Amino acid sequence: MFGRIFVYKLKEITRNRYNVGWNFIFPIVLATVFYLGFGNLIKDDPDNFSTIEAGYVNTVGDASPFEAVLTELSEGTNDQMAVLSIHRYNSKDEAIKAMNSGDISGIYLESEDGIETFVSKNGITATTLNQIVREYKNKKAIIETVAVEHPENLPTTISMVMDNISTVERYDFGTNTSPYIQYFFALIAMSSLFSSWISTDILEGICANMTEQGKRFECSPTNKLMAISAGILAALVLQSVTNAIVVIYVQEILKINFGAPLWNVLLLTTLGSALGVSAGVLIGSFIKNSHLLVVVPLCFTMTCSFCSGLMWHQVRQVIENNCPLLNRINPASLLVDSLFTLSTYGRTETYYRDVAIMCSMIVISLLVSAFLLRRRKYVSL
Amino acid sequence: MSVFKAILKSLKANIMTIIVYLAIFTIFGNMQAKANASTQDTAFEEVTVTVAVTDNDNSTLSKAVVDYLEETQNVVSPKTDDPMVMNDNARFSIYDYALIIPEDFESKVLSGDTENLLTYIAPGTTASQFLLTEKLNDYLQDIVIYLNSGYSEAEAISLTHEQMIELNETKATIIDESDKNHRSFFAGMFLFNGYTLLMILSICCATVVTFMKNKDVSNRISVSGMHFFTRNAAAIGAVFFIGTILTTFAILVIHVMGSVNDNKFWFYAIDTYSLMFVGLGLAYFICSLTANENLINMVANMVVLSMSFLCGVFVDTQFLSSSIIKVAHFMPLYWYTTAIKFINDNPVGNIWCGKFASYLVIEILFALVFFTAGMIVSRKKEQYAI
Repeated sequence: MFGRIFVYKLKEITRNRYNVGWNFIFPIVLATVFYLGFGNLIKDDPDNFSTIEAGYVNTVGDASPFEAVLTELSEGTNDQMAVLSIHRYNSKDEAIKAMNSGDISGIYLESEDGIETFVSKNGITATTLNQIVREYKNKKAIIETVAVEHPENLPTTISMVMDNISTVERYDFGTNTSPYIQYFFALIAMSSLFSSWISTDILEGICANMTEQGKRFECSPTNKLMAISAGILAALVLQSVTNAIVVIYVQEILKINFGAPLWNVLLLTTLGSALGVSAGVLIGSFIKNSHLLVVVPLCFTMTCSFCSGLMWHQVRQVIENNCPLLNRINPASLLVDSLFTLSTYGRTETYYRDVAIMCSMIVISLLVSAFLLRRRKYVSL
Repeated sequence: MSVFKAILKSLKANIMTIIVYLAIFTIFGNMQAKANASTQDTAFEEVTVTVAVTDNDNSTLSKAVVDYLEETQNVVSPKTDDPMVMNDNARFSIYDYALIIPEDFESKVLSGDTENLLTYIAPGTTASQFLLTEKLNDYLQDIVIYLNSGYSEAEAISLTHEQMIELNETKATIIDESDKNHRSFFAGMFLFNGYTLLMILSICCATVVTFMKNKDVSNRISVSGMHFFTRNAAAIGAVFFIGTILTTFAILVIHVMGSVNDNKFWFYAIDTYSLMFVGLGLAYFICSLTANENLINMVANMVVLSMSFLCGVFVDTQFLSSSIIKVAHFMPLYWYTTAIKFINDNPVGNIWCGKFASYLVIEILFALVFFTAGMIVSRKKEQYAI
């Protein structure tokens, strides 16, 4: 009997165009749209440092030490790209014309009055171009100060200035997951929580006070627990398969690497599906109004998805810093966090904590639902 | 008039949709527009990096480094001592850079061990990470050089500090002559409006037209004795009236929110009215495909959301690949956003030209394409009794 109900529920869910549209087609379309929108940003982050196109005008005529510095900065090394790409101009006007047309971001003008920097707008590029002049002047000032106060140490000073010591090092985490991949994780979380609609649909079909089908079910000699379990399992299977297709589509067709083993990602998305289904069962066991059975899961899914970073990728981290408890009870945030932690740091303590909370949520939701649904009596059928 | 009134009354069913999308528009559109708005610069302003400092050394030298950062950058609390959380905070722009000063920092400097004294956490190789690393390197190099050139620790710190203050006078000169470098608040709001207005129009007008297609309603109108032309003109008029009211309301919301007086506002409004025709055409096309409200909602979401991502509403077109931009040329929203950028980038006197008019005409042509496609689908459905 369990198998029979399971198969019929599976057929019922897959034949519901509305469920298939929102749970399967919508995530695929959204993933494609995210890929078209953010795909470029994942591969080539616009915040990344890139070589600055700068103009150089020398009205003095002679080769200057500053020009040598600019030449050095325009030569990249094996592990570091060139800081500048220098374009030489004969006059300031010619250089300004190039800057206004967008060929260069700034101009260095070396004249009798010293070195001047011209930029078209404020920003990180303008500050970096200005910083190069400051560093040049700074090193010049050090040599002049030591030459006056400690001339005996001048050779050491010049040698150290030329050596360019590296005093700051980067903390290496091994991986460099793009923050934009968060959108795909949030999308999977949203898709998982959409399964709450499937479970509310299933509950609607077995509650005599909501549908005709429910009345017939209530009159039938079928074990209620077994029927609900078969329905839940059918919803879980369908949502897990849907999520797996979305994950494989993103990884294999859109070629967005999640940075984690596929089996592990699928395991997490299956857990997410179970979470969505159990949340739906809980909502369905509380609410007895058919209109609210659509509105509440929708509001629940969209609120959780927003807080997990579906619309604004920073929001989960903002919540983590200000109210971490909210991230611990938001099923979408838990799934996103576990996927992000897995891809960035591997299976750490945070990853296991997230998985444990999700498992607990599933168990608690199902237990509470079982308590609410058991021994439900109707005055008349 | 009774048909006209009935259609307007049927709009009541969509009041929640209108409220939700207008709320999204006023909150997120305003946030996005304010975050991206900038005006022409007249003086050089140095960019400051938000840096979280963890000082585990608490020595004279480490305090000097922190003081230097506090004077020149925006120093915030790291909120954690876990490097992974710091990495997440830096990755999600809670701060740009996390600096960790180790316990033996001062002793290492004084003993002459100057390689990799400090550790930083930053997302990838960003421009702000490069800038701050350069500044820190420059500061520490100065201290190390002074220490090795016969100066005491206090003297090295003091000399470096003095030098840094003096260098603050070295400033770039701004030659800002182009509007292209900036985006006004109105441009940002009208860009986001491309998404919300299309959503509101396509969902509301599609459901209103679906209401008219309802067999019961259409039969009752047919037997009313009203002339064929009158009742159809009333129906079309009502849909256009709804479109105009919703569009005008969205434009008024933007006008109220924009505190500055921008004389380009009316050009943005004209572009928005052109988009209104696209919204109405899209609504007609969607309701020719299905009469199910849920499906209308789903199709409208998929079509409008996709166009918004591909046409530069959510992600600026400069970050999209050239192949996507080529595809976007076949979408009406692309011409709407291109017109918005054209208005933003050009002086008021140069906006009303052939180029701007061509953008508006293309939008209206797209609207006609949607209407035609909708009519063909409706006719075929009627022909084959689908």
